[in-house]
Amino acid sequence: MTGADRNCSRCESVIADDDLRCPICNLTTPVINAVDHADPVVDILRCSGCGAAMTYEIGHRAAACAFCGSVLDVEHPADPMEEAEHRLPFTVDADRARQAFAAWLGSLGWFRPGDLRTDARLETIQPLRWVGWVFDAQAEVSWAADTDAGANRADWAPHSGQTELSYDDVVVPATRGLTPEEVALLVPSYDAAPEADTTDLVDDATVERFDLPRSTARAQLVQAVERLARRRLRERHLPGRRFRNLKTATILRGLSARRIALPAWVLAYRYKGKLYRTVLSGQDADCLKGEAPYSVVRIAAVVGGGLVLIALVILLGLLV
Amino acid sequence: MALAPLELSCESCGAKLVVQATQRTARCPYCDSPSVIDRPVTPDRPDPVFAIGFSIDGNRARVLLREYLKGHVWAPNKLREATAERVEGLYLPAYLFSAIAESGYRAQIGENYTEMEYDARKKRTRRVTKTEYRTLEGRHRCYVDNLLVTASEGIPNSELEGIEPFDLSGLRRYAPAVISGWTSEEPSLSREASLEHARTESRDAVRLELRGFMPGDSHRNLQSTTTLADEAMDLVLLPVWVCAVRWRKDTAPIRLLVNGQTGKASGEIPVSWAKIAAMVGGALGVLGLGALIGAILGWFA
Repeated sequence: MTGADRNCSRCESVIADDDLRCPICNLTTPVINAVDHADPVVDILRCSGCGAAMTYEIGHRAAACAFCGSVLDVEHPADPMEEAEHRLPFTVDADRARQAFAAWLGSLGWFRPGDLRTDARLETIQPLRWVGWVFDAQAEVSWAADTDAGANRADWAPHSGQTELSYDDVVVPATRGLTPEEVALLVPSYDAAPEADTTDLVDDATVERFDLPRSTARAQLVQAVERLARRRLRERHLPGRRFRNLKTATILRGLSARRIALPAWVLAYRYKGKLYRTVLSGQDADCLKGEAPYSVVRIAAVVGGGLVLIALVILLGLLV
Repeated sequence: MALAPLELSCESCGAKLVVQATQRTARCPYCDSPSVIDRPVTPDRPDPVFAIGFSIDGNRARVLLREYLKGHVWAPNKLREATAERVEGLYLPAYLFSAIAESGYRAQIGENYTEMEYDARKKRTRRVTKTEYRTLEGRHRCYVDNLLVTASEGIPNSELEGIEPFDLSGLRRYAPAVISGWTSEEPSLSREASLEHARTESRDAVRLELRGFMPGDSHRNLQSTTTLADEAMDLVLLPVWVCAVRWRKDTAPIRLLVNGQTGKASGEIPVSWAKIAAMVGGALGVLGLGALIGAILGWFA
């Protein structure tokens, strides 16, 4: 998006300069330079190269000149692969990430191998900027569902309603590099609107790319907003304790989304020849998710001990 | 909207060019120059906003048409083997409609429950499923969009529906370059008539959506009223191959359409009553034969 944002006159969502229609409600974007005239005008499309008449050719999907072969392209919807527009800064540097990692290894508890802390060897520690959207929107959700509120003989009674939801700076992930569980943990750790003078502690981080064309990305975003709306309905707006058959229809308004890159540290460590991965937020060192081995010996010991204990109790019971 | 033909002069050679009121393009009979005519805008004849360019050529359209005809097992064989007499590419004017649909609905929602019931005859209790109906009233709002309705008197909406859907991601901003050298029509239906079509289609679509919106195990007596707000309707030119197929000398050719973007063919195909009669006769014959053999072997004795 370049220049000032344009907004759809029907749903107020932000539209890109090269959008022919609003991505949310499909309203046609206004045409600039439409000219009307009082008399019919006859136009022959001329080739700028040789002056011959040009006609639309299927092979080119555009008007082409039969003589010199030049092609005149027509404005059609752009569907580019886009990059992140904003970067959130790293406020956790590599040293702090290492410390947090070591502390985490030590805090895993007794069921992990005793030498994990000493034998685990950090192989790589890499800064990553993973991609997602931060969006603002209003959603007007009409819903209908069965819930247990007001039920008579059947377990369920039908309910309906309309709810206005609004979203500010909500992060929706678009990453393929991180797992959904990792993302779910990382998202709450970010400040989507940081102070302008926050210094970025890392400048050589790998920036993930959006590997989707814009139309697909937008469809994903709209789906994500609808998922969020259903979740919020479940949590706050449905009467009763249980529900089924939740149906929703959404009017989305004023959607504006920024593509952002979010900072994370990806650590790989080796323990007894095997690689494990740990991901850490670039803005909160305590926000960490990783894989770690369990100690088979220790778990077996506890299970065995438990079994022995149960056997003893039963034996005692029989004797008494 | 019977309008007089336009008399213009060819921009290339200056010869007189007579253009029918329904045509947006013309070829000069003397120098073959392809012209695009841009008339002053009226409410019933707005400027096209979008166009979808042809991506299926005439030969491919003929092949797809043959395959389509072959697929109709119940059509007369002569028609199944017929080839098109004429296949002409045409940019058909249609309106692309969108709106916000607001509906109020009321329905009886069936919620199932099970009860134990004593069966006096069998002298035991059994579990039966019963339905309790509860009234549900509510409101529903959604966008209705990507709806296409014809703007041409020549191709009715039902025929256009036959070759839908068009892939609207292939929509381009209208420019003479998309239609130059091709036949293109001006809208011949009034805007009001097309708008009525679009509204009817929208309400039908919402009614269908509401059926899926009802909770419960079942529902009955669903009543709804839908109002459309924030309507928008833009003229779009659609690529259509119009095919005339003559399969009997004594009848006029029938018209079939092939979607110029996706290749989907459609048309009203007559069925062969002779084939159906033969089929029914054959089935009866087999039954009769079976009965005869049965009687001889004494199955029914």
